[in-house]
Amino acid sequence: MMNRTEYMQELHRRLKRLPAEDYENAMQYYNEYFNDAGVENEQKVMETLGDPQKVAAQILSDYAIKNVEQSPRSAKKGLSALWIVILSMVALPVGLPLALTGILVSLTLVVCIVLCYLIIFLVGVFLVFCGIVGIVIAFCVVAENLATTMLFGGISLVCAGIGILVVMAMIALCKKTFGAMAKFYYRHMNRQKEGNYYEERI
Amino acid sequence: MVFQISSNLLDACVLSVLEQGDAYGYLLTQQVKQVINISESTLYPVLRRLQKNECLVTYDQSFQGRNRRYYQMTPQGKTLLEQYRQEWIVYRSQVDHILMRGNG
Repeated sequence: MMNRTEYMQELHRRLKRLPAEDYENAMQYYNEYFNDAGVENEQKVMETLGDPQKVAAQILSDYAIKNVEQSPRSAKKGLSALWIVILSMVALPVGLPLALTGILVSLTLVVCIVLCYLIIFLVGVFLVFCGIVGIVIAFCVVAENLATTMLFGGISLVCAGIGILVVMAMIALCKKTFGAMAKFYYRHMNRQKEGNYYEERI
Repeated sequence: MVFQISSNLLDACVLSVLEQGDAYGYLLTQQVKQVINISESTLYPVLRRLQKNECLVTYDQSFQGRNRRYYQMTPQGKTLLEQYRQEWIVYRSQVDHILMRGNG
């Protein structure tokens, strides 16, 4: 069971992105509410209030609705919107390099994976090649030494077989990996477009 | 409580309680809850809305060494309250008419 401090901390965590005035008002209201209820009623208050997540969500949605309804020309509200724009622009010098780094790291990762796949794939091809060459050589000496032929032939066939399996496995792995990566990036790009206030979901 | 109270009706009830006298958050909630079992647990969103619509103002008062924020109805709030009261009379008679069918 939560105590009051933890409850208020959770509220703080979820509301701290609000403009100072809205944040202060909300925190003050609930702190005073707890105070007036008295320490003995602490648990009862929390039960009545419900999850701090829900309480915070209500406050945030009221704030969002209020800002949509207000005329943009209203001086006080316009300032909030302007402030958000200014903050976004200020954040760009930091945000943009971070985003670029993120992209570069992902690209490097992709290149590495591609190279690994390529190497293993080539090993597979090489094995098949050796296998085929081996079989050919084996049959060349068939006249002289049957046992050698059988041995060589057998090993070569195994080699070729393994090679083919490796090649097929790599093709399947490639399809799966890049399919999953494509889905991941697709979802990630869509998430960027959603609004800021509802980022923190459980 | 079967019937959900609409947000406008809740606004009206809060204003009506404040008409009796200024009150702080906890007290106001207790008073409203005595009469109506409101599902939302505190009136904070209601009070914020009324404040933004300039129906009430707040002031702080010290109590036992800590702060208490009081809510006070404005003349605009009083006007709105009277409007709500007129609407309620009409609404109540409409509901009675269909629900109580001669019993009300």
